[in-house]
This record gives sequence, structure tokens and C-alpha cells, in this order.
Amino acid sequence: MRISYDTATDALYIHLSEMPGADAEEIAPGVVVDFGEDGRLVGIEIDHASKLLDLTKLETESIPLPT
Amino acid sequence: MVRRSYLKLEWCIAVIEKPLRREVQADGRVQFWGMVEEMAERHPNLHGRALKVVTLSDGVTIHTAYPDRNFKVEENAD
Repeated sequence: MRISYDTATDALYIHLSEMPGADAEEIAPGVVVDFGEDGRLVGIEIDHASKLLDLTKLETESIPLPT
Repeated sequence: MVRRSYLKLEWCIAVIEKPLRREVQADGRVQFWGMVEEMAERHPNLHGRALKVVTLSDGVTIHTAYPDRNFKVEENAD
């Protein structure tokens, strides 16, 4: 999983999969989810991210990251 | 835009230039909707969907674009 942020547009994107998107849907104002060809979620785009999220910190909990 | 590589820039430009509907958001960004025949032909799963393009307040710089399931052509066509 990868998170990227564009400071110019204040848009944050959560890459859930490396599979390319084939469809999308706006599920809430400023929030668009992307689906792969198999219908699985591949990413989430959040507009005006700095207003919706606290971008000053990033925490994970119980994510099985390799040590 | 790169993450939605199934969308062509030329489609977005065409929608901006000749939209079915244009709306300015509260933040000044501009939303455009349009039907793109080639998009439906290349991607049958998107048949009947309008392409929504959002630009920055200049009305030209594309911020994002995606096929909009919620746009009803019959309600918005001129």
C-alpha cells in the first residue's frame, strides 16, 4: 500500500493495489474510489485532503510490516 | 490522471470544451460533464456514463477526471 499527496492540488491518493484502475465512483463529496477490472478496490482519492485529514502524522497499527 | 490510464487526455479536453453541464464548486474549481463515445466503445463497462472532469479555478488545468455514475444525461442535456 502506498500513500501519495499532491501539494499543488491538495489531493491524497491511497494506492491499495498496483493493478490499474478500470472504473471509478465518487462515494462522498471529494472522495473517489477506483476499481480494477475484477471489481476490486485499487485506490482511493481524497480531495482537499489537508482539510479532511491530519497530514502532520501517519501511524500504523498492527500492520505486519517486515522487520 | 495517470492512475486512471483508461481515460484519455483528449477526452477530458473535449468535455471541457463542449460540456453537457458546467458547474463551479464552492472552492472555485470547475466541474464539467460530457459524453465521450470513444470511451464507451473502448470500455463497454462505462457505457452510458458521463465523463466528469474537474479543473482548478482557471477552468483549464485538470485536477481529476472519472466516469460519473451519478450524472443523468436526460436531466442535464440541453
